[in-house]
Amino acid sequence: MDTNLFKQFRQDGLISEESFVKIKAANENRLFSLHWEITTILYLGVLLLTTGLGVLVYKNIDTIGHQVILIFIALVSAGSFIYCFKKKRPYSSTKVESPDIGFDYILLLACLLLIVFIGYFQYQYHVFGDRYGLATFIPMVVLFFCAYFFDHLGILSLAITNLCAWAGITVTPLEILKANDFNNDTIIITAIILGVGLSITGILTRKKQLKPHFAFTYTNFGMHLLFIGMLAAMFEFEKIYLLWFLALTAVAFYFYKEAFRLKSFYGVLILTLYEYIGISYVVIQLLFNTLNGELGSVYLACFYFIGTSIALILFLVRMNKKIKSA
Amino acid sequence: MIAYNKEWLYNLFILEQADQALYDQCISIEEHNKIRAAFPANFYTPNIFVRIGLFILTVIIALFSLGLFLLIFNSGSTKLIGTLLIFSGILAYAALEIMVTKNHYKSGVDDGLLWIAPVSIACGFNIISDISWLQNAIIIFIAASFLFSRFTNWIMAGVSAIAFITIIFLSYIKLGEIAKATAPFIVMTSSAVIYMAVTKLLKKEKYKLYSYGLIMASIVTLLCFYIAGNYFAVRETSILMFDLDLHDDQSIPLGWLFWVFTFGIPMAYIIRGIQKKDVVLLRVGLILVAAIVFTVRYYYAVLPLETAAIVAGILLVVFSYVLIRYLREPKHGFTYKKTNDRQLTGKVQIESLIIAETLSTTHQPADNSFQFGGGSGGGAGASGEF
Repeated sequence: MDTNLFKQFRQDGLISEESFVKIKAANENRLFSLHWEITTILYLGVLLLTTGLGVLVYKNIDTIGHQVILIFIALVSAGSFIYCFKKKRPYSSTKVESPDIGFDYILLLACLLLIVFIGYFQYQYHVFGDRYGLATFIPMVVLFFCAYFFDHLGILSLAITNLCAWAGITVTPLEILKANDFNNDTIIITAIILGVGLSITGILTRKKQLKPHFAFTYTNFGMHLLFIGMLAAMFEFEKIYLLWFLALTAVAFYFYKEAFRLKSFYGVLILTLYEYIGISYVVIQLLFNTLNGELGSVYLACFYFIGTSIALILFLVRMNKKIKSA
Repeated sequence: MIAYNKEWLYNLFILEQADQALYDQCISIEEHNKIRAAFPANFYTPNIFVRIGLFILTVIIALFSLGLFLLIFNSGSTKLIGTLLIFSGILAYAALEIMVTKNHYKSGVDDGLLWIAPVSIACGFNIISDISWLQNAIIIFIAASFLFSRFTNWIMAGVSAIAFITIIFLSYIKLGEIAKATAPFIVMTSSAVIYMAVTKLLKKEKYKLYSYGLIMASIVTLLCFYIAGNYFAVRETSILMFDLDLHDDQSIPLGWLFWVFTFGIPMAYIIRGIQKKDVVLLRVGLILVAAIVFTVRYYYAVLPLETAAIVAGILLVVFSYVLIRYLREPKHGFTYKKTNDRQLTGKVQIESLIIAETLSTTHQPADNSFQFGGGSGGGAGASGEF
C-alpha cells in the first residue's frame, strides 16, 4: 500500500487518523511472502518423486531391486501417512484448514505412493484376479476416504477422476475430449449417468452440509460430463436428436437456476456455451436439410452465427448485471 | 495517447490500494465506501467468466463476418483474400475504438478486438506478398507497441519487446560471419538495456498506467537475456540458422562461457531477487532452474530419467520442508505465509484441477470383463462447432 496515497486520504478526511496509523504500521511490518514459491517447489517435488518411483518399479519388475524400491515406497508412504495422522486437526463436517502448507503436499505424496503400491501388487500378484475394475476401485475408495478424512480438495478431484476411470471414462480436463471415444454408445450413456450422479452428489453435499465446500468440485465435474454426454448423444443418436436437445435444454435450465442461486458467473458461462452448441447443431441441421446444402444455406449459416453471437453477447452482459444485483 | 478514460484508470489503482487496506483490516467498510465514492471508475468490466464468454463470442463474430466477406467476393485470388483480411483488421480496430468510447475496459469485447485487428492485418500482409522474417517482426513490433501505448495491454507489451529484440537479432546477423558469431552477445546486451530502461520507467509515477505492461516487458527481456546465453539455445541455433557444422560431441566456440551463463544467470536472478525482494526476478530465476536441468540433461544424461526425477523430487521436497521450518518465525522480512491472496479466491479449485490433470495415475480399465467396458479409444471425440 502506498503510504503517501493514504496520507492524502487522511488530509481529505476520507479515513480516520486511527486507520492511517494502522496502514503505516502494516506497511512498515510488511513481509515478503514466499508462499507461492514454496508451494510450487513442493508440488513439483511430489510430482517428480511419485512419477519417478512409479516408472522405476515397472522398469525393474523382474529384478530383485524392485523389492527394495517397493519397500522404499511403502516406507515413504507410511511415514507420510503417520505424519499426516499426527498433524491433522480433528475431523469436522465443515471445512478444516490444513495445519501448515507442507501438510497438503505430504498427504498427496502419501496417497499417490499408496496407489503406486496397490497398482504394483495387482500387476505382480494379481491380488484382485483379473477383475481390473477392482484394481481401480480400491484406490478410489482410499482416495475418497482421505479426501473426506483429511479435507483435501485436490485428493477429492483425484478420487472423482478415479471414479470415472473405474466406469470407463477419462475426465482429466485436457483429456476429456481426446481420450474418450464419444461415438461409442456405452461411453455416452456412462458419461450421462456419471454426470447425473455427480451433480446429485453435489446437491446432497450442500443440502446435508457434509463438507459443503466439496459441492463445487462434484457439480463442476458432473455438469461438464452431463453436457458433453448429452451433446455427444445428440450427434450420435441422430434419429431422435430433437429429444436429446430437449433434454439438454432442460438440464441447462436447471443449471441456470442453480447458477443464479449460487451467483456463479462460471456456471452461467459454461451452460450458455454448451446450450449454444446444441442450438446451433439443431439450426444447422434444419438449415442444411431444408435447403439441401445449397450455397444459400452457407450464407444463412454465416448470418446465423453473427446474429446469434451478438445476441449472446447482449445476453451475457445482461446476466452479468442480473447476477451482480441479485 | 491512452484510449480509455485516464482518470478512471488512475482511480482503478487507487481502488486496488483501498481494497488491499480493507482486506488487511486497516480501514473500515465505511471508509472504503467513501474512497470508492471519491474515486469513481465506471468502466464496463464484467466478471472474469463473462469476460471469457464475450471474448469467445467476439472472435466467432469476427470469423464468420470474414467468412461472409469471402463468400460475397467469391474469388480464389490470394491478393483479394489478403486485402480482405487487412480490411477486416481495420474494421476490427474501428470497432475497438467505438467499444472503448462506450467504456468497455477489459470486457472481453475489447480484448477480442485488440487481438483480431493486428493478427488479421499481419496475416493479410503475409498472404498478399512473400515477406521476410525481418519484415514480419517489424510489422508486429509496430502494431504491438502502438496497441500497447494506446490500450495499455500487458500482453502487447510482451509481444513488442520480443519483436524488438528479434528485429535487432535478424538485422545484426545480416552483417556477416563475425556478426553471426557474436549475435548472442548483441541479444544479451539489447535485452539488458531494455530491461534497465523498463525498470526505470516502472519507477516513474508518469507511467503508472503502463505498469502491468512494463512488468511483462521486463519478464520477457529477462527470459531473452537468458535464452541468448543458454548453451543449448546458442548451439542449436548456430546449427540450424548458420549451418555450423558440429558433431554431437563437439562444442561451440567459447562453449565454456555459455555454460557459465547457463548456470550463472538463473542463480544471479534468484540471489538478486532475494536481495531486492523482487518477485519478478525471483520467479523468473526459479523457472529458469528448470532450463538448467533440461540443458544439462540434453547433453549429459548422467542418470536415467526416472532416477533423476526421484532424486530431484526428494531434493525439492526436503528443500521446501527445510525452508518452511526455517521461516517458521519470519526472518529477514520473509515469510512462508500468504500475505495477499484476496485476488486469488478460487485458486484452490484451480489447484485441485491441476492435481487431477497431472497426478491422475490410474487409467481406464482395458479389460472387457468390466461391465461398462472402457478402453481408451483414439476416437475423434465431439467436434467443437456442430
